[in-house]
Amino acid sequence: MPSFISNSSDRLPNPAVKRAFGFGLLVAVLLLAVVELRLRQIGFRPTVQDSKELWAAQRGKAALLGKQALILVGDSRMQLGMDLDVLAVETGLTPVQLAIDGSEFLPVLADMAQDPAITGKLLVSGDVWKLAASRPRDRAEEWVEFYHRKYKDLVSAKLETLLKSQVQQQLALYGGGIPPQVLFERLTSPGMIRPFYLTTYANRERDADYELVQQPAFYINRVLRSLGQPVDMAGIDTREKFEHAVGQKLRQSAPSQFSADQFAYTHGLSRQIQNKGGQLAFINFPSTALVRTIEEYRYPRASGWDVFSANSPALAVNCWDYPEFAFELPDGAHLDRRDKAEFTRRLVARLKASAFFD
Amino acid sequence: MQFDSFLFLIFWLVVLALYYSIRDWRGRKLMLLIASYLFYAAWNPPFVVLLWISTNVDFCLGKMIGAAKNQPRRKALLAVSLLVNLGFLGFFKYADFLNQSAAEILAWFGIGYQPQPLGIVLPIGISFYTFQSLSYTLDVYQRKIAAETSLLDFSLFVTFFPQLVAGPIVRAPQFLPQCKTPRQTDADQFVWGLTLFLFGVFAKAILADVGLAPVVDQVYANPAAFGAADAWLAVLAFSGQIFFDFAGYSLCAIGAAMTLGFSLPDNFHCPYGALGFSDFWRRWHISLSSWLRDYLYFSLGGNRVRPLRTVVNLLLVMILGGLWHGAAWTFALWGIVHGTFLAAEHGLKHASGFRPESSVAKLGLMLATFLLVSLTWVPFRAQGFEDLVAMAAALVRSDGAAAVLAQSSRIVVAGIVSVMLLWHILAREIRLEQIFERFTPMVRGSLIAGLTISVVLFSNGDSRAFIYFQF
Repeated sequence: MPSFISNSSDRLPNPAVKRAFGFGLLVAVLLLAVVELRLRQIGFRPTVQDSKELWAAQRGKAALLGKQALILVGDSRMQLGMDLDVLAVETGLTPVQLAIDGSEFLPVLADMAQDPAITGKLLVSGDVWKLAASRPRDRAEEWVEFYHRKYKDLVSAKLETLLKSQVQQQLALYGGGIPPQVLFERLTSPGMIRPFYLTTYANRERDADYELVQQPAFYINRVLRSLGQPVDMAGIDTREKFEHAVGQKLRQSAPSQFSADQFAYTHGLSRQIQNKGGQLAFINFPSTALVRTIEEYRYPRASGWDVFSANSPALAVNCWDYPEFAFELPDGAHLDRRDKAEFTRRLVARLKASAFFD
Repeated sequence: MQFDSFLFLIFWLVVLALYYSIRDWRGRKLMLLIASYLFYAAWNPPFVVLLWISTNVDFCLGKMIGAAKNQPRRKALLAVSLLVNLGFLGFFKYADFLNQSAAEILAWFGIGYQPQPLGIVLPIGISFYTFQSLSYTLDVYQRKIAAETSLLDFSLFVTFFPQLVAGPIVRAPQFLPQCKTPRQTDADQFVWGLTLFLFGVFAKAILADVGLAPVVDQVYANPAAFGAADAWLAVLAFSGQIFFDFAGYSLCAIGAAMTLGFSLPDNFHCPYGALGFSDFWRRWHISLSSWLRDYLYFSLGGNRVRPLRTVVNLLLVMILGGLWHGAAWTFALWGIVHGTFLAAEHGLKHASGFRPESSVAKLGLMLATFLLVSLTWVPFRAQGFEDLVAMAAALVRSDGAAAVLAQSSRIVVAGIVSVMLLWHILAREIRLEQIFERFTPMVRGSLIAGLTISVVLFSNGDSRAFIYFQF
């Protein structure tokens, strides 16, 4: 009889590894407990890691809910700005968060339009430059493809996503997949390193706590990202100098002019959704300070939002038009977690006034 | 259900609890069979029917072949087994590929034919369990083994969950005798099984997925943007990624089976320390290469035929081996390249009797083999011939690159690949158990603690399927 069928005894190391394994496991559990406690001590909270699997789970939910669904499509403004509990209470619908941080979200809207099971209401981010056709391909497209090809019909993927998010919700040490060197720094530098400012929940609702970021550096970075051009920061030590430098850079580029044709694709998607009995509203989220200055210059209202909304078969709400949406935005673009419930309440009231929920 | 998932962890714990709470051996086997079907159904429940049909057809045909007295009847029954097994495999894995290839061939002759993709979903693990089940009827036909009389044992042989979806491809004589007597698992065996499983998860989730895959994905996504140094680094990184991914899976399978008292054959043994391509195939995916050798290469006459025929046999076996991995011409090319190297090596050995004797010559041959094997992974990894050409061009480009890899990524890849290579060269004659024996208890404990902590802390990103699941 070959040795490999004799209960594998030939494969065992000698002496046995029982004690070493027990000792190793004990040390691992103790060290992980220490890491968990230390992270909580410096302010870390358990957070789910946003991923394509988590998104796909919500995407599946949107299809199952039918008319009962209130589907949120967009980017970080939609993900950080909407309070799902408030939405549920105020509308009686079940919110489904499908916004993807930093994404080109039109492929998600197209996916909603193509799926006959999507018949509920949709709220869509109204970043006008992202609503024009021929946008670059990014992870929104990848995540939609993942849902259809590798998630929708697979039982294990769904169960694993559910289990993983439940475990992540309990443990701070999962802190969103921190790289080893960053984790080490955070554990060993008291007072120097702050907890991550974003907390994600299993339903993909996300809170931004701007008290945990270093200002004004965070705001400056946000402005520079919106600007998309490098600014020489040498000698800039006041707000006025920064605004001046950004203004100068901004004026080096020409404003975008959109034609109605460029929004035809998006309007077509809106009609497809409406033809299935669905309803949708485009929401241009508020922005403030230099971020708003950049957006107003780059995408002038008359040749941007107004062109879009004039031809839109769906409701289009611009938060800039209503004083009740004048919240203080710590980075100029996103709502703090303390404000999002009130913002959501006011937005629902505005949509109700436009008969969106009738 | 991936081995490196919470779902598998819960499934495994439940299986272990039930297995060891059942006293009756038949009851245990029945529970394992049900668990294995559940394990398979966790992907896509309807495909369980396919697995069930394949199992039952081969069980019945095995009995009929064993009982048949005349050779034509035996041959006909074997042909039915081949038809059913390869028919399923052909339809699910190759129908779209053949359709598309036919369209391309017709286009060369100016005939327009644009087939609609059939959109067939590939049942996971079909290549593995088809070969496993087929080996049984072939063995019965060749009178190497008697036909199995227990449907329960045979079903467990085909579906045993640790090896069901990505091997090792177990042969009937390796597994069925283990079903005949109750498996006795002592604590040493159980704990070593857990240790092997931990090694496997670490190899897959940390070394392959966190350490190497990001660099491979980044460069292969746009090879034209990278310089030669980074392209070479990506080629070496993929050598490491595919090894840690698949060897990691095999270790998990062997470890999980061991905790249940079952023994599965080794699937890898320091392949990058191989002295030439024939040695490589004795060390890489051993259960597949030995299957191809025993059932295909030997059936074609192996190397007992004229030299030219041997070359043809080698090429044919390796092309089919390549296509076994995936329905794409790049896999066929991968097989052709390996077949060519094997044939060249065969010819060289017979013509000159070349055998490296000195340590320096051996080391040189090992490094050359590693480098060539790494290059053969390029068509294996590329998504089509366009990608392949772009990657080949990046490997030899001399002008400036638009993109560069982060220095930290380069260091990680270089570190992992160097240590892997060193380990394969130094440990090519030693088994994993023997390496572990050399460590002091403190080192062993620290290693297990370190691996556990790494797996818990740093394997928490998007889950990445085992590469061989797609085959």
